[in-house]
Amino acid sequence: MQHDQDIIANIRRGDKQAYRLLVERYQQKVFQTCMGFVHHEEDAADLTQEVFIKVYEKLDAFRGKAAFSTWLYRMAVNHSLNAVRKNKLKAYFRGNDGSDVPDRVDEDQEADGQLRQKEDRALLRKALGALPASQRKAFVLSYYQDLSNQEVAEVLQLKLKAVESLLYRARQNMKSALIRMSDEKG
Amino acid sequence: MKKDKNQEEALWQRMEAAVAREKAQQVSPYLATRVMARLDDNPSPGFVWAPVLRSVAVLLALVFGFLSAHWSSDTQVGEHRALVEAYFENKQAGLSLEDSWLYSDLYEAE
Repeated sequence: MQHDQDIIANIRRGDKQAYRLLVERYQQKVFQTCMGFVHHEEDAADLTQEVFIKVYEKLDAFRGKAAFSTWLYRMAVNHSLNAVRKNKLKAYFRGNDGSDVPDRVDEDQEADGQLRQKEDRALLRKALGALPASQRKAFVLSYYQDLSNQEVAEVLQLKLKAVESLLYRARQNMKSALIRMSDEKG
Repeated sequence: MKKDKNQEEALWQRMEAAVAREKAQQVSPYLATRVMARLDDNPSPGFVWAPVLRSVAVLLALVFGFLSAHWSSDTQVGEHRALVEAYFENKQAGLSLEDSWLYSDLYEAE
């Protein structure tokens, strides 16, 4: 398997098609990250596409000090967060809070289990959406991408201890939010 | 208290299951093709001028604004001009300038 750095060197030499290899290698991981922010398959796919285009345009800025994947995940996390903020702003001016994006569930298949899944998804979206940006980034990288704490620290350019603290606080905040939302619902 | 803890644990497990379901979604197999098609329409990687030009335009506007303010403060009305303006605008025609002109010998001689 060709190393990321070799592929990047080929792209820089003008082999644009070599970029396809990088996209195919990392598309699932980037997609999972985007899912962690937008919780909607089509929106996440669009966001993934935007991330790869942006990464290609900024490839000259990649100096190779960290692994390409680390740099890519950093771009994915930041781009996703910006997209969510933009959507929230748009939703605000449209007159809703942007959290009520309908889930696509077939009506005839809408059994109890699926209703519960839909409910859980909405709860997850709200609880995650209420987290501060740094906690949210750490949570998505850890839970959606299964990165180790050390890898999360590299992506977010933080110390390991800071990441551990962020993840702990993210879990605590989410649990409190979940209890609160569950109580409100009755 | 114990009930709260159990409720919290149950909710958390449901959230972990929800995360697992979202994570299990597979990206479209055509994504790479879509990305490459978009890149074919875009310029090759390199320096992107648009944000630089935008920044330069903003900077020029700021400098222009600053210099305009600076120049306008330089053109403050001088003392001599203020006297003339007061003379015409306030209709203070009885000041020494007019007196000396109206009642001068020269005027009467005409």
